[in-house]
Amino acid sequence: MKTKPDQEMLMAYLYDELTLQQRADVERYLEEHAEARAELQALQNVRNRLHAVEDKEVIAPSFIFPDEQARKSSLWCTDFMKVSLGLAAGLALFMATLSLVGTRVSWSEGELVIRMGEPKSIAQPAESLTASHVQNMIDQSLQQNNEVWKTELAANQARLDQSVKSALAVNSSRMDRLVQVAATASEAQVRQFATDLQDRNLAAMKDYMKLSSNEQKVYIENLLIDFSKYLQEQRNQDLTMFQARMTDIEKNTGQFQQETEQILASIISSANPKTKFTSY
Amino acid sequence: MMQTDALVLQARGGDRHAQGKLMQLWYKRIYNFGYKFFFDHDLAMEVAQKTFISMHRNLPHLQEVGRFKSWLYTIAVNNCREELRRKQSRRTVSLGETPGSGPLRIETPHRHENPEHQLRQTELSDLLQQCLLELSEEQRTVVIMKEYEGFKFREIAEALNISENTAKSRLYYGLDGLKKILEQKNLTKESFGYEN
Repeated sequence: MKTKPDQEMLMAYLYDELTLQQRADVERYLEEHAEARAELQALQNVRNRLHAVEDKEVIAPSFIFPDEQARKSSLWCTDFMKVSLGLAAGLALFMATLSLVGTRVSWSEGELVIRMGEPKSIAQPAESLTASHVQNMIDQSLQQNNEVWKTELAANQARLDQSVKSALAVNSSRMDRLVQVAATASEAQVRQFATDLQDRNLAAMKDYMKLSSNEQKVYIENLLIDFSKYLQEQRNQDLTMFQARMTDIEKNTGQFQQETEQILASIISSANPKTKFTSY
Repeated sequence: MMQTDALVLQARGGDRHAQGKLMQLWYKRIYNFGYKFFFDHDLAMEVAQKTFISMHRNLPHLQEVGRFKSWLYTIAVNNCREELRRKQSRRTVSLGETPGSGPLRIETPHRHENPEHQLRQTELSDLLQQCLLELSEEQRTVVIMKEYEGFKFREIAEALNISENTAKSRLYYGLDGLKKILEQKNLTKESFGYEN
């Protein structure tokens, strides 16, 4: 081989996938070209190093493959059946939901009505009222009220009359008894009654005066005691003040005496030098 | 592969037991494809689950039994692309799990080895996964299919509905890109400990 083998040829040689003739040609070239030999050796070294990568040991998981043939041959597994069953199930669910909520569908006079639950009675609007109807209703109501008032008033009047009559009857009977008793009393009895009355009044006055004099006595005694306490206190205070004044006077007197002595001493001392001076 | 062909024939006729067996047979491969694509357990589980559900639904339409593998990976790649679009639109970060964690993942291949070596190996594996994530989606898909799933170029072209040369070209640029990424990350021969 005259020309350098290309990359593909070198790879096939490296992995021993050349024909005998090709292999011989490449080997001849490599014998003649050291650089090509070195290049191939370098690639072989890489291969050798790659052998250091080891396979990892793994345990194959136990898959359970479904029976595909049986699955595919089943009518229930066809797409059409799946879609149909899905739609049917959805429709059934929808119908069940409608029946549960009590849905009613009706068509009448070109109107479609979908209703949930029983229809509710709708209150009919009242007939239109005129002013005369309203006035009549007011008049009737007033008339009824008047009748009721009259009835109640009559009943109350009757009860009041009855009460007055019964009260007058009781009072007049009492008055009659009193007049009868007064009419039957004699002059002596009247005097006796007046005497008793005076005696009771006199006794009451005495008691009052007695009680009143006792209270006044207690009050005056308390007043005298308080006044004597006040006088005693005032006396004590005056004595204390008098003693304090006397002490002050004594102090002032002593001080005055001392000052006087000092003044006299200074006068005497000032008089003596003059005497000495005059002796010269 | 003969077992797969027989199971596909039975499953295509509606045999659920055969479909279950097919899933048991291919689940780990599809999960790991998704895991390497996303470096995420949950997304890988999602892709695997969707892929086998799709397989169950569409298997009767599979014309050629011999094309089952590329057909299945076509579904897986489409699911990966769909999840990638969804993930990019969401732009969320999982707070609960770190990449690579998950309830069904069992780290058993080296459990009897030196724990230090095992830890180093896991870190290296994660680093390379991150390097893979830096490739474009097209290059990453081809690299994973070729390097880890053992596809021929013809099968890749068939599954991705591209030409063989396109598949080879994507693989070339993918490997070249990985070489540069590894150099950037300073992953030298010593890091791997077994260079030729």
